[in-house]
Amino acid sequence: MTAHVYVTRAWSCTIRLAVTDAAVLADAAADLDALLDRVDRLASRFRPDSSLSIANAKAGRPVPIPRMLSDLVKAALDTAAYTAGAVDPTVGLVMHRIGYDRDIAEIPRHGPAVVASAAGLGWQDVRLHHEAGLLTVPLGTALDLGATAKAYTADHAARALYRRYGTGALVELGGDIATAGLSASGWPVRVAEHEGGPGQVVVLSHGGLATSTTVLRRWRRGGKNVHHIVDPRTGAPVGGRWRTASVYATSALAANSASTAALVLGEHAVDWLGERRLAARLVGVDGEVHTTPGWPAVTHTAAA
Amino acid sequence: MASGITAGVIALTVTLVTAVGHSSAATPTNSTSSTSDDSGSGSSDSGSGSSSSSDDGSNTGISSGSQMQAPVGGSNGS
Repeated sequence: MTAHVYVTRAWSCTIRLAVTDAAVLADAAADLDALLDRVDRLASRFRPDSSLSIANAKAGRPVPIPRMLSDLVKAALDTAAYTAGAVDPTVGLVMHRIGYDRDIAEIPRHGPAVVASAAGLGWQDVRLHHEAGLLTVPLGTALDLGATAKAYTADHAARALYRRYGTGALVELGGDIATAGLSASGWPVRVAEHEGGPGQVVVLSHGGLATSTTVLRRWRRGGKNVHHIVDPRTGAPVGGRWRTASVYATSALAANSASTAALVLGEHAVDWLGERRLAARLVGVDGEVHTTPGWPAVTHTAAA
Repeated sequence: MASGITAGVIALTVTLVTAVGHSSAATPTNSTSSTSDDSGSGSSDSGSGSSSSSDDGSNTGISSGSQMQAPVGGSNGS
């Protein structure tokens, strides 16, 4: 297989685009860059002028939003429903409270202790008229689409590039991977807790793959580690059995929904994944790797 | 299609095009009154056929790869 790969940085993470048709790589990369910029302007929590920030600032009132933001919010609410609230987009103020109120690179490494609270969280109170493009953020809360926007955008981009150029495409946004179209021999992808870390090479023929982890995007408050994956039941960073979850599913969004939920669900994650027949690779807080049925075996151990 | 892939069977050619100095510092715009505008974005399917997070897993699309195989992407925590 010949894959032609474009690599860049955006949203504080690595972005990769792989296509099977070299002739379209430059144009496809430009399209992807434009899409990322567009989504950033729509949904960034760190830009006061983003459409999402404007809707958050007007909590309690219906606000007209662009169609694509409506799609992003719908994806977040669908994910909340699918995970029974384990992945909840109304954690915006919680993120702010624990210190994640700016780009990850700009967060002070140390700070005073934070008090966890789940007060006000509740995705069911979000009012979205999807077709009309009207969003009402519940009063006293704020939306954070960080758990789903990357995966949604990866799916969106892969499909759009396949449709526009007829090329097989793999889009990776910070570890959330979407594929569209055919690659003669599949897409070899390395799964790991962090880039360059020990892991496993798998091959995707279609679908999506995502990894969520608590070992990255960390800082300290009150002498304790804090990270970006919040348990909506407590309003605190998750601290359960698993530190990293990788899930394969029919799309990047479905995979990311499940990988994030797995970290929140902790002890119940294996049963939850099994009930949904999702292939997963889980890394425990002790570093032990556990896989669910359907996850491919390692052909031989990668260098640790 | 992906099953049975072993090292040496596939000659993987990766063309790397690395963008240096990428910035998302486009001029912010208030887009609250805009509708879907896909011009130049390659994203003309906004809102249609969106992935459903309620899809059950279909595990037939993932298989083992050789650890010697050069990946084209990475699913890492972020």
